[in-house]
Amino acid sequence: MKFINFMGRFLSPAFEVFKTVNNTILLSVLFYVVISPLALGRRLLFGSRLHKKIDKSAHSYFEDPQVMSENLENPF
Amino acid sequence: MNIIGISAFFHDSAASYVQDGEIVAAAEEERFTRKKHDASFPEEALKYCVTHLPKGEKVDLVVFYEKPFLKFDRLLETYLGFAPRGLRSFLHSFPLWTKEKVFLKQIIKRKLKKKWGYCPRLIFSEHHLSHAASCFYPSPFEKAAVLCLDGVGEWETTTLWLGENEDLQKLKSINFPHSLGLLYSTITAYLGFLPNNDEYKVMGLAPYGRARFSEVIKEELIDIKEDGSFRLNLEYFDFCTGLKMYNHKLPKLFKRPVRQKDEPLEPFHADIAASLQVVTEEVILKLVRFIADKTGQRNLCMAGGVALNCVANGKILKETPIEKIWIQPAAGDSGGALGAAFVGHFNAQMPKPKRVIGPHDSQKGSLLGPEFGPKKIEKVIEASLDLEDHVMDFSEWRNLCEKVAELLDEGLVGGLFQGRMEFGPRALGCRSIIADARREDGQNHINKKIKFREDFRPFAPIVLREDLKRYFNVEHESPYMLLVGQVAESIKTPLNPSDEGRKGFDQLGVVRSKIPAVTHVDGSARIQTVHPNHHPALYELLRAFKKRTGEGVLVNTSFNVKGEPIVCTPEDAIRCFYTTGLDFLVLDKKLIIKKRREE
Repeated sequence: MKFINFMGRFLSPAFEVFKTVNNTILLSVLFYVVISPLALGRRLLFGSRLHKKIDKSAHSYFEDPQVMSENLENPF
Repeated sequence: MNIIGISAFFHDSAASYVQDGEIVAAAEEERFTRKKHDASFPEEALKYCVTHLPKGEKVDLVVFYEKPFLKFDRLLETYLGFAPRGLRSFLHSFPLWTKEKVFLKQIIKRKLKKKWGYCPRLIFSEHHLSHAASCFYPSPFEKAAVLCLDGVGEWETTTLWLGENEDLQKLKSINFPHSLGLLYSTITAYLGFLPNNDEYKVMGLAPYGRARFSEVIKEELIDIKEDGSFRLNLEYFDFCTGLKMYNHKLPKLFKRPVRQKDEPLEPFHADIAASLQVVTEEVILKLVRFIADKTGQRNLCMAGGVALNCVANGKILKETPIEKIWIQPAAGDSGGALGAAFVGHFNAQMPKPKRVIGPHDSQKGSLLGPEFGPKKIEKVIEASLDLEDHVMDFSEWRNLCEKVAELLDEGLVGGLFQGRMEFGPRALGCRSIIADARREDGQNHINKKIKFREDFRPFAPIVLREDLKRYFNVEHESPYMLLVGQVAESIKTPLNPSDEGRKGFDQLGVVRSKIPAVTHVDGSARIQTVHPNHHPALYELLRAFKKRTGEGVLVNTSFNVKGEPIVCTPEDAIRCFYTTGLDFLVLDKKLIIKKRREE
C-alpha cells in the first residue's frame, strides 16, 4: 500500500506518460522485461498473498479483517 | 446534510441521495441509458437525484462506493503474483487503469464541477463497507449480524460484521481470489451464460437438475470449513491471469466441453446448476450459523451480489438460528451507491448523527426512482398510441383496479406502470408485467410471447400479506421478492398420471398447484408479499382481483424484454407494449387495451 501511496502522490507525471500509451508491444515489453523478473524475484523472496492453497487440516480460512482507512478523502 | 452516493466504473452504475439520514432517491444508470448493467459515470441517475434537492440547497458531500487505489493495488498484486502469466489480462486492464481509473478522484471532481458548477467535498468508502451500510442502516434492526458476499470489491469477497445503532464493526473477512461470487460466475460462464449478468438464470435452472456434482465441486473447486470460510482451488480458474473465468481443466473435471451460448440446454447443465446451488447454500448457511453464534444475534442483514440468491435466503430462516432477515433489494453494486451515502452520513460528520429506527425499514418499498405525472403520460399516449387501441381514463385508482382484475381474469397479460420506479433488479409492482397465476400455460406464454426468453425461466408471485400462509409455507415477510419458499400443501394438486415420473426439462408445463404460473418445478416460488402500508396501489389491485376471483395472488415479472433494462419512462413502457404480446397497459390511471391482440 505504501508503494501505491508513493506512486499516487509523487509519480503521477509517470502515469501521464502511460496515459498516452496504448501500444501492445511497449506494454508487452514492460510486462516481460520489467514486471515478470520483478514478480518472480519477489515471489521467491517473500512469497505471495495470492497463492494460499487449500489446506485440509486448517480449521478456518478467515483472515484478519483489513483495517479500514481512517482518511475518507483518500482513494486508498 | 445532502449526501450523494455514487457507484460506477465496474458494472451497475447508480446514484443515490440521502438527506439527514433519510433515503430520498436512488436509481440505476442503465434505466436511463437503456444499456443493461451500464458501468459508465451515472450522469443521468445523478441528474435525477439532484432534482429532489430542496430549492436553493446544494449537495454537501459526495461519496464514491469504493477505494480505486486499493483496487489497483489488488490488480498490481495479481500481476506480480502470477507474472509471466497474465499478459492478456495486463494488456486489457493496464491501459484502462493508467489512463483513467487511477485518476478517478480528479475525473469525478471534474465531472461534478461541469455538471453542477461546483464540486462538493468528495470522499471514498470501501466496497464491502458500502454493502454492509446499504443493508444495515435502512433495516429495521437496532442490532444485527451483517453478511456481505460478492465477486470482489477491492480485496474482500466475503465480510462478516456486527451492526449496532450507528456503528458497523468488521469481524471477519475472506479476500480475493477466494470468492463465492467468482465461483458462481465461473460456473455461469461454463454453462454458456454471461458472467456478472446471468447468475440468476443458473439459479432458476437448478431445480431442473440433480445435484450429482456437488461432491466433485467440494472436492476439487472449493474447500469449505465448518465456520463457512472457504478457499478456491485456483488450478481450475483463470480470472487472475486471463480474460476468461475458467481454464482448460474445468471442462475436463466435468467431462464435458463448455456450453456455447446458442447450444441447447441439456439435463447435464441443469445438474451442474443444481450442484452449484447446493454448494452455495452450504457456504451461506454455514457462514450464517457462524456469525449468529459469534454475535449472538437473531437478526441478519445481507448485501452483495450473492445475497440475490433468494433460494439460499429462504433456507436461512428455516435452517439457521436467524429469526429475522433484511436484505438490501439492490444487493449488487448499484446498492453500493446507497451504502456509500450512508457511510458519508454516519462516518463523515462530527459528532456522529444518531440513527433513527422505525418499526419498518426505511427503504420506502425501494420505490426510489423517477415518477411521471398525468400530463407527461397523456402527451406520450397522444404521440404514440395506435388509433385502433382503446384508452380508458379512470379518475379513481380503485375503479381501474376493478377493470384490470376483469382483464386478468379473462387470461390477459398486462404491463403495470405507475408511481416511482424501483431501485434494484426486481420489479415490485411499479414497472411490472402482471398476469393471472392460475393460468396453466402462463409460464410458457409470458416467456415466449412477451419476454422472448428461455422457456425454463420461472415467474414470481405477488401475494396479499394476509394470504401468505394460505399459498406458501412461509411466515416471514418478503416485500422485496428476495425469499423463496415452498407452495403450501393445501394448494398443491395431484399430478396427472401422464406427468408422473417426468424429469428435468420434461417437467416444463406440468401443473403442480392451483397457481401453476408461479410454481416452479420443485414446488417453490420467489415470493413478494404486499402490505397496504408499503405498497397501497398494488395492494388495492390484488384486493380487486381477490374480490373477483377469490385469489389474492398474481404473477409479477419485470417490465422488459430479454436483454433490456426494466422500463423507466412512459415512452419505454409504450415501446415495450407495442413490441411484445402484452394485451393491455396501465399508465398511471390510464388503461390502454390492445385491439389487435389476436395478431
